[in-house]
Amino acid sequence: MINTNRYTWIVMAQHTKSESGETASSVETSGWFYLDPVSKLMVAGCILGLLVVYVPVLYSAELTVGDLPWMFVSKPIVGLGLASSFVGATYYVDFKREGGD
Amino acid sequence: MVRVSEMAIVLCYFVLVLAIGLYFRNRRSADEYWSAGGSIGTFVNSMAIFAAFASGGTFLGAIGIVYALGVPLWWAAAVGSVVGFLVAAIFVAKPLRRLEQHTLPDIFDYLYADSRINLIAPAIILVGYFMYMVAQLRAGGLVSDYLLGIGYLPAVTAIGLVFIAYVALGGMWAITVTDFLQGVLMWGLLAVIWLISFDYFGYSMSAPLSEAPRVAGTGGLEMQTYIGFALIWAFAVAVLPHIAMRAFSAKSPESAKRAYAWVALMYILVTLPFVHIAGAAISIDPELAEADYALLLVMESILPELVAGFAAATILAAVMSSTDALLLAMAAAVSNDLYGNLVDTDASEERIVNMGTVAVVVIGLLGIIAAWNPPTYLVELYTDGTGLMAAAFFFPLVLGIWWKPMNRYGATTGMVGGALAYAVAYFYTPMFGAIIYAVPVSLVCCVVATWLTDARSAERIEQLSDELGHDRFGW
Repeated sequence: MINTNRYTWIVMAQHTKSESGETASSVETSGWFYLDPVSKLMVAGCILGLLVVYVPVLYSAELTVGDLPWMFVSKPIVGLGLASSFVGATYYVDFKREGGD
Repeated sequence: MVRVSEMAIVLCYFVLVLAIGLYFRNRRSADEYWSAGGSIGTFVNSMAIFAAFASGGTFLGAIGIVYALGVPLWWAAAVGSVVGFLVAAIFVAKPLRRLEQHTLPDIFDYLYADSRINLIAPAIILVGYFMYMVAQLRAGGLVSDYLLGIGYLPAVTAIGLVFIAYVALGGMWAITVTDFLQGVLMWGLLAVIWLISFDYFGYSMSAPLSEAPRVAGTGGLEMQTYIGFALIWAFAVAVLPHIAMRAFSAKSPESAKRAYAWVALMYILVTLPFVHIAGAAISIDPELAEADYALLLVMESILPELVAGFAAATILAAVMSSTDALLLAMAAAVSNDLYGNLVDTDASEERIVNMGTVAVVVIGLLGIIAAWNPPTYLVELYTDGTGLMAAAFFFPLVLGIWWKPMNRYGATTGMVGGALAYAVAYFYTPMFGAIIYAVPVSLVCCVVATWLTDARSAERIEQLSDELGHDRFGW
């Protein structure tokens, strides 16, 4: 039986030249080189993290949560969340690629 | 008065790093001297990158900032650094390692092959990193003056001469091994100081906030300062030459990416205890004349004498682990990039490495002299040096690797536009605010100049795709 969870991760995290189907004569000269969906997701997470930290205080510099400034509360949570999810994703994808379940 | 036990520990540390430099003195090929033969594993490289990145500024300057202005300002830099390492891991780590080059300007030369860029990039590195190095040397001088009692000038001179010696002798190998050692020492020191600070507040997580409430405050600074401080590091990490050189030294592209990811996690973890450490400093003396002394105050007040000696050696290690990497990057900018890529493209590898050794000595000595009478604000000095490089290099590098049409005209305009915009905005914006304007200027310059000129050819794009590894595994 196909492990769909594993299959999805591998597909999201990789691509090969043969899949792209480009040859020297048919190379696109505009646009971007391919970036895998997991990387796109992490980039989006980074942008979202910075927005979560700063957008609320742009509207209210003195914003507090539980009597603590928003910038005090939000930054370690966002930083830890981003860093640990990236490390986790890196090793999880490698684990799945190597055939782990 | 000179403190003998602390002094003895620091001298032992100096002997050890010099011995490491001597051990690697025969690794003199360009690949060994600049990139440690591309053979460093993930764990050692992670610790070495962490040590090179978490500088004297992180320890002294950061605790000083938290003491004076509250932890949210420093955590802006920490979150920015996390984003910066993740961006670097995603966009540059693997492509840089695949190219088997030695320096960041080598990468620009590969991407654009333009003599103007070969001149501009090393020049910006020399300006930005010289500011960075002087700030680090000042941190070392402050620590030694305060904890060893030998005076600022002798301390700066001694520290400078020691790291010049081991960098000149052992190049990237000596730096990597000493940085690994320094990284371990830094984690040890932080654990000890945090535990003792934690004990100082009765093992309470919230006590620093109630006893020293300004530690959680926002310091009354403008929002541009907070945003700018985060963005500088978010854009800088990918283009910091001394961090990029670690990607070249990694044993594989995947290892380079993993190392960057681990450093992101280590860096945010290392900044979390700053609340307790700075809170302890505020409780002990809320009116320090020089905020950069806050960490030293905690060490002197609550650490046993012997531990304080190790702590002094560790902060010197933090200073030296950054400064050695900066020095090697500047030496590479002079010998490998300016001389080898521009002045004499036929120069032998041996000649370039020997020139690099001379450059290490000359630049190091100039740094010592500049640090004898440095500007006051430690963090501001090196952050603005970094901001200048981020504004100039981020988009020319990332677009050069990922945007197919990007050409040398776009890169040149983006570099000059970003650097000039940063220099101009510096005078008209609050502290660290210049990056908010300079990076978009660089982006617009890159895109517009590329659109107005001939894009890369299909053959060149195919070559880049193959050599940068875009046609291989994405993640």
